[in-house]
Amino acid sequence: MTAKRYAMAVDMKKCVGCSACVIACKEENNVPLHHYRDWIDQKLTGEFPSLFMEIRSQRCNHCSEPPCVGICPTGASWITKNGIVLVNTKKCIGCKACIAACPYDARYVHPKGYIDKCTFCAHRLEKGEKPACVEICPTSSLIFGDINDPGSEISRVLGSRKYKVNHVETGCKPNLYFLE
Amino acid sequence: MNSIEFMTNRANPGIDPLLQIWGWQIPVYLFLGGLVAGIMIVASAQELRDPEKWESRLSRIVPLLAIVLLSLGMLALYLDLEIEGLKLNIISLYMTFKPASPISWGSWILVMTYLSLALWFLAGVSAEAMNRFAAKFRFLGFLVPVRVWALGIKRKILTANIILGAALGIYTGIFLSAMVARPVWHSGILGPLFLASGISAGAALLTFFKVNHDLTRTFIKWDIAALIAELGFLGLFLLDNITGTVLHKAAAGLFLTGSYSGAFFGLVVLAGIVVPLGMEWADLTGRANAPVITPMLVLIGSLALRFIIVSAGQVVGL
Repeated sequence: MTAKRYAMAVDMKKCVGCSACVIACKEENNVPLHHYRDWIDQKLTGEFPSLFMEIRSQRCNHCSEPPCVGICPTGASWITKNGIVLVNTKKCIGCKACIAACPYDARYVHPKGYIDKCTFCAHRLEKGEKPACVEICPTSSLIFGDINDPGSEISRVLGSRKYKVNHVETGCKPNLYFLE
Repeated sequence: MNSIEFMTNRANPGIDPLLQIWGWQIPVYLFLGGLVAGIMIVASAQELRDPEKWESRLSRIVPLLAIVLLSLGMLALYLDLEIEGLKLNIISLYMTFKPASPISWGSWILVMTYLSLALWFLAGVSAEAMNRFAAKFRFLGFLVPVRVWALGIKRKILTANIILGAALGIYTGIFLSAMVARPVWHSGILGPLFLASGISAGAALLTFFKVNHDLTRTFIKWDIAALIAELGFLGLFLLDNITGTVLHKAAAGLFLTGSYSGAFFGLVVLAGIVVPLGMEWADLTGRANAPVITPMLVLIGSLALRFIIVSAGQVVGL
């Protein structure tokens, strides 16, 4: 049986940039004040009156070849068999090499000294629940699941819709997809 | 399509609006690491090549100085670690070896460097001095046979110093160039550039010692060769960026015309390389004596290079 590979898709046609995902994440994971595990990017392109706005709910891309895991000198940054990139706070020395290595600037220094980031709410997944951001999204623009399961919603949507990923040129094989 | 506006609500400290994770500690760590690498390479190669010209007191002073400088560098790195309340986590560095992590390589290279420097020092201590020391501090009596052993393998220690020095010097550059997400740093030339800069700084530092004229001239020759190599690698580093992607061109712009150009050309290229190169060449060819400020300029240039590269690397992201 193929191992699970968790991934997330952001439907940019549905996302309205309400930041409910950001608030849900902070609440669920006790993210410290002025720190963010997920965030909203808005990019306005074109020339007036032909303008186009792209809204993206962003977070750690849980790459299949994560540079943060390779660069970590202690093995504190690691990747689970389900493809989730996590930080073992007992091993982290706060050298910040993983922050420098991340193409998405998705990591930050937690006030307690270790490096923190999105975990895809791994603690919720263990209980069969979805990540808090996915659960709260009022427009259902966040789709989460196992891309190794051809029957999963995320596999179906990635098979039928056009999508893009960020910084594919780095070779880190990100697992955060943006549906166009 | 033109991008008119980009907005984000992310505001993580040290990440936004610009990456600012590494302050003065990392450039100082990289500078002192490179300096020690240079000292090890130049002094060991010289002692191996021409033991007649070598002054034996340097075999005690130089390794001791290298240990002190290396320890100061390690202290700077330690001060950079965000391990408030997690200090014991540092043991994790030595509980694992990560081949893809330059810091992991570096931590093990540093352990071996300490070992090699300690043996080099012991081999340089006289039998009488060692016996006196062992009589005073009985619990360190085991060092007496270690010294005898180190003396017997002196040439092997010096060879190890050169290899470890090269590894340490290159590591200080690879430390940064492994970061695929930072265009300024992501260049294979940083390894040899920092090694050449470390050798020039090491040779410059060695010229401060009052030794015989021939040995001082040899250190100056080492410095001239390393400075020329450093200048060449700097040119290649800029060329590498100029001929790269849009982001690499932006990185080159920082040094050529941007906010770092003054410090880069003034401190690194002119004061740190070109001027001391001219002074040392004049000294070597008998035209004029190089003033005492010459090695100081090399050291300042070498330190400035690390500060500028570490800082500029955090300005340009993907």
